[in-house]
Amino acid sequence: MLNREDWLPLARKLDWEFSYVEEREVFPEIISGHPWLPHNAWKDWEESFKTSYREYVENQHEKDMAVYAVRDAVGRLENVQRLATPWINGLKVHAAALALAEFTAAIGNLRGTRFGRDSAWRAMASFGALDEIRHTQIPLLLMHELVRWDSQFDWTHKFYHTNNWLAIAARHFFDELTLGQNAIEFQIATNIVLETGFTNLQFVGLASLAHGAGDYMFEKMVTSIQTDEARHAQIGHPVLALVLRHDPEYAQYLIDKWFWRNWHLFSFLTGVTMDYLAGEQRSASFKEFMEEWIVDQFFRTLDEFGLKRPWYWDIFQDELEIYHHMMYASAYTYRSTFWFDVVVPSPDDRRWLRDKYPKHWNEIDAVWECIANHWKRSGVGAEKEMSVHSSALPAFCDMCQFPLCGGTPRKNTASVFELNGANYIFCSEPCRWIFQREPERYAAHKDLVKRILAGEAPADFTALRTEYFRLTPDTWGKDVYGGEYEWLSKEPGSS
Amino acid sequence: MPQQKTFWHLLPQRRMPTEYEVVTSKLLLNTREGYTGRRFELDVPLQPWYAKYQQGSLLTCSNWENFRDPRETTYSKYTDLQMQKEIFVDGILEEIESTGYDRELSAQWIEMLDDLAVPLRYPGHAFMMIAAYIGQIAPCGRITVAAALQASDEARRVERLAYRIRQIQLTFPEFGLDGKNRWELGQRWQPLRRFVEQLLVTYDWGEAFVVLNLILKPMVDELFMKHVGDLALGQNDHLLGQIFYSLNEDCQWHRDWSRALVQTLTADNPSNNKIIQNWIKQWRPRALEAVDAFADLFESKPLGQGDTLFHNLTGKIDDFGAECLQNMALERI
Repeated sequence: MLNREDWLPLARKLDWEFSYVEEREVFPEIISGHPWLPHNAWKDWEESFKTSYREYVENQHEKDMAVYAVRDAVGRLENVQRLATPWINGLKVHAAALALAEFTAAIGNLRGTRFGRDSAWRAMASFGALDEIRHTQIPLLLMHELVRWDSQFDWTHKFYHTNNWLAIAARHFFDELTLGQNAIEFQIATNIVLETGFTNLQFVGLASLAHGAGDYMFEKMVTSIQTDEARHAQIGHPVLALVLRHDPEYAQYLIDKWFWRNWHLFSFLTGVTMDYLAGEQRSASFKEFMEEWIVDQFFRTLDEFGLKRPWYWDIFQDELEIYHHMMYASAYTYRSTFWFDVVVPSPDDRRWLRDKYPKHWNEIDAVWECIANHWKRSGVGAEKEMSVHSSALPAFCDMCQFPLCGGTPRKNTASVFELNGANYIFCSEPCRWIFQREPERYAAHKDLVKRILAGEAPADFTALRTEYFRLTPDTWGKDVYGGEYEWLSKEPGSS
Repeated sequence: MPQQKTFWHLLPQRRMPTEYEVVTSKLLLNTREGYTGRRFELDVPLQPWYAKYQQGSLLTCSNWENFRDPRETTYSKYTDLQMQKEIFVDGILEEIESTGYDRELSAQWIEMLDDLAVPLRYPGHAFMMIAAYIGQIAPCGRITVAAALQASDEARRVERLAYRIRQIQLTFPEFGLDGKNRWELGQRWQPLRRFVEQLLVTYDWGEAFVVLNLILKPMVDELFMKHVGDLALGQNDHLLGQIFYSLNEDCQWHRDWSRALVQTLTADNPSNNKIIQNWIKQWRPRALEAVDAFADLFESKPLGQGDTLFHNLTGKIDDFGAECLQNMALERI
């Protein structure tokens, strides 16, 4: 057989000069992206790692077979049932966040397959679209089997189809990242920032935690997905290189904006799981994983392209110490608005967290002290859940849609911005900065509180949970142990 | 309350779903299929594009999820199936290499392939682009999945053509060097190129689907994948037809899932039939013109050698396309 490099060039470069329509009609800027350049500027576009269709289907078939072999060996219901309960709840978070988000990335890649500005880019994106369909279908199939055991796994599919407040935040993110994005911004934001960066948290960090937790199915699934991401993520590099040459300010803006947006989403998604639900086998903290796998990689990317560190880097480093802890404490007190169960960190956990996060842990620790005291006072058991729970709604950031968790318990960093007579509130300066740069995208969006005020969502907390968030007494989040912690009963003052 | 046994959206079926249903149902977030009552959460710049070309399309359906790919193609099934097909094609290509097959081909036939097969990569690539467009703008995830796989099938065809071109070049170094030029300037290719370029800027999702999958592709695929293969038989090139046979299996599936979608649409709302028919009226004559531009190559002597097989090629392809339409209760007009 011929070598790939002998014949593939004849399939990669297939652009031509249009005669019957205009190039700008075939690649309208609104959907192909900014800056708009004639094809001549893109003609040398080249991916660093090439593959053929022939190789793709064979490799992918083998990878699928390997995943399903692991499923058959150790990924069945009885295997999952043996895992630690907090870990299983981490699994529920990821199952829900992953499957249908991956499908929005299939749409993004199809956008690249049609509106990418060079034929080689388009052909690579078509494999990317297939990959993302794979990443949609594997978790749906694996988690479907668990629904008959635990209805919270129903949220693997249901999550994005609800108005759960976290789903609102996630859709706000993925609408802009993938589903409704133009080809250029999609490839840069998804390939460079998300897939070359943040998904390493899942695919390297969480995979190793899964291994430690004995969840070999999850480990296999995410590492298999990672090998696809590594291949199709390379599309973004030559795209960014060209955008940088023609509009460096815009390239820097895209990187800054998407690093920040990813940071907030993954703080919840991964930060919470790593530091609170992974159990005792954890070897490194979320912050350490971030520093090793994301920040270092991000700096390498910035250096490679001659980009600057985002202007908010000091703010980011501050948040790295505390933001996801604020989120988790908030999440615990609103646990019945989620589809998974949560735990109070034990004294051992808290010592470990103090060691890992010395800067602000004292302030967060006071929150957990307070929650533990609530359990002591109210008594434990499922019927006491709502005694240790908030019922007044938090306020949400008009950018990231998460509760206003910026800063510390003593000093919140929320700020207000007025535009056309309306007030918008932001958890942090970077969130406000992103909003101000393109308010036409964000200004009309109503967060949960605005929906309640507009009568679109019920004001009554119980109705909100059931009718609007689509939770049931079976599925809404609880304390994993109903407050019955061995360490709690041993503490002085327990009843 | 008994424990639920499947995902929320599959419960109304009152039976255990198939694997295909589990992994392809209600995958899109922006079609108001769930509890959100929303399309996009945000005012993304593409929202008006979707409003105009997806929601504004004349094709309507009260429940797009009634559509099912008759092959029930999941990702896993796709890679398995296509790997088998690619192994088959590898076998043919290996045979060509190991037997000195190309040395037996006539200069005249090589010249013909230069005109017929080499430029085909360009419309093939455009077919991938248009299928990818249909996939991203479709109002239902199942259509997206089918269209995305179709787009990759088109990439497969382009790559196999590229491979074969390179193979022939080892024996005939001048072969296949001006494919782009022929596509851009050759008289024979212009009606098809005009059609393809106009279809690239046809952004209504329903129209793009109908024109590509119901009108253009059935006829163009039949012309190249079947008739060129048949023509090759008389030219001592029996293996080309076998390669094209395998590629044509993909095209057959494109017609199959398209037929299933049209059946879903007309069963749901009979007025869809009229709308599709109207697009057929507008576009089909030009598609026939694109096919007809190649007819003389098939009928010319001495290649045809008086063989009646290639007489009235356009008529045969017209009939084939019409038969595809009839299977969907549509007419050629």
